[in-house]
Amino acid sequence: MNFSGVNFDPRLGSFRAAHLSEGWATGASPLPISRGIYTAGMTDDIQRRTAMMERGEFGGVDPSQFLMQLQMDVLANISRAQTSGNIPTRQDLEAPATMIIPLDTPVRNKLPRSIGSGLASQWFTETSLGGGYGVSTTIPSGTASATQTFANTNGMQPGMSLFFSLSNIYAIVSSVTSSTVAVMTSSITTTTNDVVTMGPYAELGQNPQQAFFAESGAPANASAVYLEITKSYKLLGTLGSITGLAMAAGATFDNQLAEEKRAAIFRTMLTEEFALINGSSTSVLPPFGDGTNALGFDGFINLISTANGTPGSHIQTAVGALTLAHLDAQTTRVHNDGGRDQYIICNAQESQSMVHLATGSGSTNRIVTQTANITLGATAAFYMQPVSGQLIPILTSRFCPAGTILFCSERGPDGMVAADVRVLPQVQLPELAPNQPIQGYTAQELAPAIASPQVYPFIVSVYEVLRMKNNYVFAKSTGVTAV
Amino acid sequence: MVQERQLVNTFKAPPVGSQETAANFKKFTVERSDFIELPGCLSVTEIRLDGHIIPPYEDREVLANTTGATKPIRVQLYSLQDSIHGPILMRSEQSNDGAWQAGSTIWVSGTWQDDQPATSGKK
Repeated sequence: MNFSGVNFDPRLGSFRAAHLSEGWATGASPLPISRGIYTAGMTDDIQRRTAMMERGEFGGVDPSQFLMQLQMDVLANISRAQTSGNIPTRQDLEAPATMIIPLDTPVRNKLPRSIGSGLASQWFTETSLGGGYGVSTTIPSGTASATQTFANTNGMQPGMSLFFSLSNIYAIVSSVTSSTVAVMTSSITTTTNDVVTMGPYAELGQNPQQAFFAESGAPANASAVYLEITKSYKLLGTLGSITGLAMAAGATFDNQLAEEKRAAIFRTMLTEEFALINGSSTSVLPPFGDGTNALGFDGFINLISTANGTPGSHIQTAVGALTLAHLDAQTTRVHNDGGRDQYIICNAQESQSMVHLATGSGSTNRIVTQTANITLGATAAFYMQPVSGQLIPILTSRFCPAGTILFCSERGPDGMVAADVRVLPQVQLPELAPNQPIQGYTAQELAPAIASPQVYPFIVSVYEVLRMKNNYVFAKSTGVTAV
Repeated sequence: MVQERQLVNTFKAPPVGSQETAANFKKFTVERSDFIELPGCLSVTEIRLDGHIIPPYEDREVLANTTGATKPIRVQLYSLQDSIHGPILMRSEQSNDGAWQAGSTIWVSGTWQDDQPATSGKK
């Protein structure tokens, strides 16, 4: 559909007239024989003025004014002619097809789209600062006691909270007895080879290294560790086609080829929205594969995982009934790990649960109205982050499975983008805009086949990959049930 | 563009609880978030929180080192432990932050001491 065409006139109720202006603009015959379908219904006056124009006579007025008036009169006649029996008009159709599928793509709209190159996108992520503050040790032999023996007590001091990951318990240090022994404020039962870090809100646990040093001494030598990440671009698209008969039948009404391309682009965009949330790089099943090969990229649900570096506590499983405490905990974890400009992706079930939590019988929130005509209900548009006070947008997506909530961040504390869509341009980009965000969609017409010479196929495609560059600032809750 | 509408089952599922009763579950009401007392419980084979099964564990892949290599771990989602309150059911920090939703109904299947009647819990 091309709304920029000069022949589109909203006064016609989206009815599309013959391409009268084509001939005028080029100086050719204004009403080609093949398009002369409206002449039979034109008034004599219009026919007379058309003949004047062909002779180059404009009745003593400015030619452009003459043409404008003629066009308006022609269009007015066409509008009236729709009810005339001898005018070969169609039914009272509207030009654009009604879109029966919701087209909103909130996640796709949220993510930056940067320009890529090559066959894959490659970057480095820092997996270790190389040491510094915190606690990072183990329990060589688990025991049930307030006094615990560690591999080392580096970084510990009274009052510090420790997290024992295997035993899944927290304990507060009462005193540090030696380089390997510390006493907790209460008896705890630890497990052999327990991993001990600071906690709960002092993650990430770093390996303490000597940082302060004497006049003649030196701090500890520590080297950051970088991990190379490579994500290959994936091809996403759809095929479409239009027959010559369909194009001819609609030629005086709407551009059927453009209409089909538009539908194909929407189809691809919706598939992309689905993949950004649910995409899988291992599934061979459609839409992510051809039945044999996995061809897709991982979406948020698969990328937010401990295998990619997301802290284990960020992955909440079998949550059950949604509570505000859980939302607080998840958003706070993301905040403490550096997440800034957070946003939440969830299903309508969870959006409704949030409303119910806000307006339920146990809530102190009340809707106050001064008239008898009250408005019931509410919507959960934002969630206030309990630490930063940021209003976190809630993106309700029908593509997000019910029971799953994704806690995302636009960037880390250093301002770096936390996740983006890297797009491979398929056409030459303007030289003056080398780093502008691009959509990357192309529609390419294909050659008809010998067996079906008047079926005109085309492909809509985009080459891209979702990149999660900072896994610490994302979290995921699954198994959430409605309240 | 063709819209494919899914058939919608307009019939509601049977009431949650009928299945648990048939499977010889015991019903408890969650009174506090940090643990659930299960008097006489010797082992737990399955639990359902408000009718939804809480799996006993989840298998995950975690980063093993700074090279990006991963290793499998099994995260236990709940644990039956002894305490001064008797047998209690603890929840993993990685399942609703270790908190049981107070007021919820939990059905527990497992083995129980013979001298503990089935209705002796926080029913």
